[in-house]
Amino acid sequence: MEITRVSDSIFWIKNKNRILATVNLTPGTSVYGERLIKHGNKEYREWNPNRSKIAAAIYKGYKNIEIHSGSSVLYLGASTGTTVSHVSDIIGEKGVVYAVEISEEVGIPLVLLAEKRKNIFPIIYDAAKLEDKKNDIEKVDFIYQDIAQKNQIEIFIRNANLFLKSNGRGAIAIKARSIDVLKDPNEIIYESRKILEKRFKIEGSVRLDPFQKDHTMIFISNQK
Amino acid sequence: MDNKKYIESAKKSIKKGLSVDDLIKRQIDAFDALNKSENLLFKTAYDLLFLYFPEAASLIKGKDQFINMTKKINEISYDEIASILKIDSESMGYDLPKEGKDTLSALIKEIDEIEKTKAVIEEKIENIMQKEYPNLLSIGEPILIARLIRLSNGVRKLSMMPSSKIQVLGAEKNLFSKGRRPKYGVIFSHPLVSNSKNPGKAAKTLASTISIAARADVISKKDIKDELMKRISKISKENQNGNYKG
Repeated sequence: MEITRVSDSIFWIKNKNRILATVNLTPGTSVYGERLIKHGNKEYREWNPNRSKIAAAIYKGYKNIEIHSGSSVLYLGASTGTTVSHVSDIIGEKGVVYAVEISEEVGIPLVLLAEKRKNIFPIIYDAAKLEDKKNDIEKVDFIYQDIAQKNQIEIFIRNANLFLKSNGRGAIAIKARSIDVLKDPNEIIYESRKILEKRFKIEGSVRLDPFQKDHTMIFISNQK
Repeated sequence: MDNKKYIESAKKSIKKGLSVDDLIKRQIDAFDALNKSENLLFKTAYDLLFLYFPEAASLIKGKDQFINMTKKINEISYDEIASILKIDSESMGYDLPKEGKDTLSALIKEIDEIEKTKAVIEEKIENIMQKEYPNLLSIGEPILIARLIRLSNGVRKLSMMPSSKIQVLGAEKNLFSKGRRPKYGVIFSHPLVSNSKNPGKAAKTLASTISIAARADVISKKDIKDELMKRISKISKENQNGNYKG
């Protein structure tokens, strides 16, 4: 077994096939049924690109995921906590991830996950109205958004203005289908990029197919 | 920093956010799962009967007839099946030993059991709706209303929807494909729509009625069943007359 480091706590494990994995923060437990791989004195959790968009971006060759050990992350659209659990692995015990999710039903596994992992801070609230939760969320190093809304770009910019540190980084997963079903996805991505360019510096963008259909992830940094 | 405070407040908002709609959603999911497994079991049971008595099995059309017929049978035998279907008991099928017949009757028993469970779930959904959404229930079958709640993710969201969207709920796949736009979604299962000569028109009126009923149930909480009945009788009148003006 061959292990190559991508960045903090993210590794490529090459056995027969190359798989992406993060170091398990709570050894012995699998969060959503993913494979656990023991090597040396560490335990790794497989990070499936079909289920997690950040993993898909790394699989597609993007290396500079600026989430590090000890980072604080604002995660909008946390869902059941699949990706959040890996972000929690990466940032480690000193980091903080605010996991915002609107749906109560979906939020239940997220809260149960947060009980096991002390660095996950669940917030069951609308990501578009986080002004109300200003006192609960401190400024963060990284903002990640994965919500299927028509005005997702606007929501991202608004939250970055509110919560992103001046030297902070961010990433947004744009689902072209939820902005406009009938338009050409490439055109939507191009337009979204233009809007983001006005506010941020674009660090890179990755198309996530074949792992995620019609998705593109755009990485930004706050200084313009 | 400790996340206990966050967990607590998240738990509170989850508790507050969950409603009877979530229960209805689970119930309709259970109903659909039963439906699926019933179909699967029916297919295997039917195939077994086909092996035993192909002449009889080929006469049976559909699940309902199969269940109705086999319910009456005490002991599976050529004579008994033949006498119900009024055919000759001479068969080219494989003469099943006792084990085979027992398997068949066990399958039939299971299908009957599922049928009963489905009826129970339907009744429970109806009871809940009687209490919570009486206006919606007055329009159609509890299963149809529950499906609409499932697809729209709650009655409050259903009430906020334009009725044109309610009309095509469940037909999202065709909605954005090339070609003709769908005229109805799950509300096609409503007899007023499926029996109409112009289902598109009937679906349109029915969807607007559902929208009004949902609003009455969620917002005003008034009983407007009479008004809804008037609208529905308008659809059935149009269906009878074949008059589709307006």
